[in-house]
Amino acid sequence: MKDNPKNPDDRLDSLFAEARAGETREEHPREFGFEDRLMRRLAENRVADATAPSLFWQRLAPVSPIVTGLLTLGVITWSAAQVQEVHDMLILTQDALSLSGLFLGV
Amino acid sequence: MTESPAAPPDETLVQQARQGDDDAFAELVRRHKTRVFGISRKFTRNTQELEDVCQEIFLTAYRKLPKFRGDAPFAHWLSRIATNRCYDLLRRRKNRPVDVDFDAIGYSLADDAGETRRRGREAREILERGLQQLKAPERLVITLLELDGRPVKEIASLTGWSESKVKVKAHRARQKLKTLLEEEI
Repeated sequence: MKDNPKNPDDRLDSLFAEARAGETREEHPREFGFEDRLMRRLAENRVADATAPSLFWQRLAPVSPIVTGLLTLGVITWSAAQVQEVHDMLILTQDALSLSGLFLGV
Repeated sequence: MTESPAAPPDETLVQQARQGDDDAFAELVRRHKTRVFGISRKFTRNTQELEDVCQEIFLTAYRKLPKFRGDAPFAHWLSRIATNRCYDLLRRRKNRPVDVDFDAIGYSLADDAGETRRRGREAREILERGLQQLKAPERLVITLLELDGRPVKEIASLTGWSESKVKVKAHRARQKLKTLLEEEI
């Protein structure tokens, strides 16, 4: 205990000192057999790691619906663009045929 | 923990454990579990949490063994992992009062407990009420500094923070503790 127990700093120091002095130094009961339990868990983790999907797929799993949705949207947009292009080509061809018919007097 | 003269040094065991020798890793655990329990028990609240944290620390160490370069002793490297794990534990917690099993964290009052132990337990109970209200970095630093009695330089090395950061956190933690415990102390 410090000389001035009313000083908050000294009192705090005393509390810490008392807590340090009163701490049990014996082994914690859970230390007994700890390594056996740990090695069992390590073995279990290895089995789980071996059977689990790879980290890449685990990380991808939550975003896969979004990725699928975006891919689908992309394919639809691309397809629509292709259809439009074909359609435009047909119209052009038709126009060209009409014009040539006009020139030929058909 | 003391090694017998014939026992291989930690670095040899690390080498063997890296090559898949589980017995070597189990020996490392046997040698250093008291150190890891000693660090962790000041941050945990009951026996189950203590066991879980200690297991996590050693599992992390096992996964990181290939990265152990041997620049510092294995014991220090493991203590850094333990400190970081305990810091993670503190950060995940919400700042609300929780009952603590003081027997589990190293303040048991056996029948023959002397005056020192009884006073130690009382002091720890008072301090715990304040410590629970501190921010994670503040609690980490003040615990390592005042309850563990580690020097600032060592705390800086364990946490990876600068010495001035450790000092600032410790100062703030003390100020807060004084305010929080004003009525009790």
